[in-house]
Amino acid sequence: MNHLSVRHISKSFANTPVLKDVVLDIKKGSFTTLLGPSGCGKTTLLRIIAGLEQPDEGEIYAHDKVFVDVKAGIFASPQARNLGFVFQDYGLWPHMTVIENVSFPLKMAKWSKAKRSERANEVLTAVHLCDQANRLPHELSGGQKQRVSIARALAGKPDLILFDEPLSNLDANLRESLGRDIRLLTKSLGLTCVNVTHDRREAQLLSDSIALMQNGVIHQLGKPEDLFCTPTDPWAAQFLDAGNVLPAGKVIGVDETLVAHVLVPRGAFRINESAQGMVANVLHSTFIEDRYEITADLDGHVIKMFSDRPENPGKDIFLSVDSQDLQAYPHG
Amino acid sequence: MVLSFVSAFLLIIIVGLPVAAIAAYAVFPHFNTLSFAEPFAKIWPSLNDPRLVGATLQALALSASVTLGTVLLATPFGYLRARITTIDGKIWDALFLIPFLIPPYVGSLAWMQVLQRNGFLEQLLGFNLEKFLFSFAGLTTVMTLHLFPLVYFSSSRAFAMIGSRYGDVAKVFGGRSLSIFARIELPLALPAIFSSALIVFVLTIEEFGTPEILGRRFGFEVIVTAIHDKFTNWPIDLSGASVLCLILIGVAFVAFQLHTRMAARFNISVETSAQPMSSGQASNGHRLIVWATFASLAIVSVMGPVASITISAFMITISGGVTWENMGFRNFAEIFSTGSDAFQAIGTSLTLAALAAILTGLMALIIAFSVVRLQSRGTAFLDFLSILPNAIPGMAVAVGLILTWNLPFWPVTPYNTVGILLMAYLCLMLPYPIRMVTVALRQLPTSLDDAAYISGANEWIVIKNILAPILLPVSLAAGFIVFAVSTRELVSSLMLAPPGVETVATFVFRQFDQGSINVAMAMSLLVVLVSGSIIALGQKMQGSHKP
Repeated sequence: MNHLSVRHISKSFANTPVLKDVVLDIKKGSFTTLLGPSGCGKTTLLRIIAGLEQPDEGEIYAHDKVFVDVKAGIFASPQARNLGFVFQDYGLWPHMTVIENVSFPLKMAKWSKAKRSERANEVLTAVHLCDQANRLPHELSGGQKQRVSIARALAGKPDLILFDEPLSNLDANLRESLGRDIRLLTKSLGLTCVNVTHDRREAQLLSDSIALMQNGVIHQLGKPEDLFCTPTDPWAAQFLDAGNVLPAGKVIGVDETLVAHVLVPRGAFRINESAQGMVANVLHSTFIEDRYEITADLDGHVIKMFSDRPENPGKDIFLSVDSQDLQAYPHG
Repeated sequence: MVLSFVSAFLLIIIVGLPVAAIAAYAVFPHFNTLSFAEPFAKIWPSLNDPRLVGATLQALALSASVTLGTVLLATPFGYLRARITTIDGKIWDALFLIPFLIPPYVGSLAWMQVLQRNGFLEQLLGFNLEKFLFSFAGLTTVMTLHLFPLVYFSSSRAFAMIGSRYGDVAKVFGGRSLSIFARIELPLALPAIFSSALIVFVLTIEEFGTPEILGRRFGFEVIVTAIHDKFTNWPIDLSGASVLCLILIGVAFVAFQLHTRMAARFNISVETSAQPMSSGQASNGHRLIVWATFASLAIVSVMGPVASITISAFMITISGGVTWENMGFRNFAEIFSTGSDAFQAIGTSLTLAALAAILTGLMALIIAFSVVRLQSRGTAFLDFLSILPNAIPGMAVAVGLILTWNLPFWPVTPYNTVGILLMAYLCLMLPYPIRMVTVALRQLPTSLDDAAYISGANEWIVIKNILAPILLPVSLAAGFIVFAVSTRELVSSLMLAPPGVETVATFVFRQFDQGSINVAMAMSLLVVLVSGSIIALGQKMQGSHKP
């Protein structure tokens, strides 16, 4: 069942189109990430869903509610949409304590004081921050600030949470652990989430489904593994860093007349013991995670592959490819 | 939307109407009877009036020479300031703030006490400089000594920023001191210097007290004093005064716009650097020369007027001269005797200043929010109206308010009440809090507002619960500055105070007119101390505020 239906949304700023006829369905209880380079329109789309920005054309429905219907002149205010928003820069009010920040949406919704404090403590416990309730935001670490921001978004019991690059201000280790916490928490509460990021790691970490955006349109939509294994075209492959995009003629066994480019994942290259196959000249080897990443020159194209052992710079290596792992992109 | 309308309404009442009235009177000479007869009939005759032309040219000449004087005097000191140790520099910074804290009319009176016949200089050294004081050169010097700190502070800041970013780079590449200065530091600093010089120009052309006190003695008339004459001497010439006001606003507006452009240009070419300037490692001999240079300027520009005001304030009689026997607290006793004019003037000024501080603070919050955050269609118009008062001299505000609220159709009018004084202060002071609050608001991330909207807040709640508390330190700092500047405001008070009402500034001015110079100086000393310390406090608060 769809939670959110985005229908033909268009938006221009100063006559420059930012979103062009975007259509997107988001399933109830799913975590969807809008992924794309800066300027692709992902943040604008998120702000339009939140009600912080008005589209020029189109409609957005959520359940039985109409968020936006430009033709009918309907534009629900952000607070009428029953959603939570987590900001990249946290958006915490510096003059309020943690618990005051978290209680503010409840105060606006005119909850009683006792119920406000009960609910605020509940969500702070959910993000492991109940012992920080009376601190001011500037006394917290970046990760803690983002947890407060999440608690505030959860406080009013919304069924939809929007995230604007929630992890990008945090360092790498924290990013991973907070990302996992966000995923566990939103899943356990059955929340529908829409996230925006330019960071593919962040998208992989959080999402059930990823909408890859480029120039104001949705370029490719699918599960993270589908997106990263079968990018729809060389641009997507390159943006997702899914592997090496090479002209068809450079790869042995590919028919140049049918295929223009080939995506060779880093794991698809095999370094042959014998002097057979494509010849590449090693540029350098780097130990990453638990194996070596070899960078080499193949006829003027820089390629990357994985290997169990390092190779010396300057050495010629002989490569073959696992043809079932390749992705072919036809001409035109 | 509601907030944009509120902002527009406030700005139109406070700023728009007076300016519109001036323009209307200049074009329609019979506008006071709501008649549009003989449009433009007065403009040509006014523009051909030799007195008007003379006053305009003299005002321009005075402003130009004061501007040149401040640049020539202050730039070398600004350059030196950027190269001396921080501790020495802070002493001179603090001292050079003082001339600026003395209201200009008080400064003029102080210089008169020093330089005129039988003045302090003659009592001390046996000669006087009365001829020099009451001349174009003397007028220029007094105003230059009052205004040079503006250029000093902005050029020293500019040289410090350039020095740390580009001067060191040039040294690394082997540039020599003189060529670094001529080729890198000076060209980069020039926009900042010009920008502050243009403010000096605006302040000079707006100034009433100094030309009135010193210039009148040798028949020197500027635009502002000519307007004053047209209002106070029979036959009262409203449309002639309006034409002069338009010229005044026009010149000030152009200069102010140029100032803004120059300041922007400096900021683009030299991005603000966080690292402090590397202080110079001067030899002891070098340091002594710098000290002597700074000290001689401080003695003339700071010690001169301060000593003069203090001595005059404590002198019992003028004829008694500077002797210990002639010193006492009599002048202060007179001011503080309950029920005296002086005491009432202090009360009026303090009340008006406090109201102006609070009201401009609130207005600035709403207007800044409308301009910065609500990008609605009228934003450009609001923005224009909110910076316009920067270029409306006090005299023009006064004239505009008189012309507006004298019109016959208002059911109620603040004219001839203290209310019109408050309106004048609001218009004149509004730029301070608007500038400070706008800058601070631009630095606050919009996510603070957005988070509140998502939480269910409307615009009023965003202002009241979120932005106002965060911006409170800036608003308070602006409030202190407004309070302090309001307590010394002369020209609009002089023009607008209803009969029987005195402010501190009009009191000082009238005491001087009536020859009670010592009481005037005692009152001035109080103003300088009170407003000076409050301005200093406000600046300190602004400096310590980090968003």
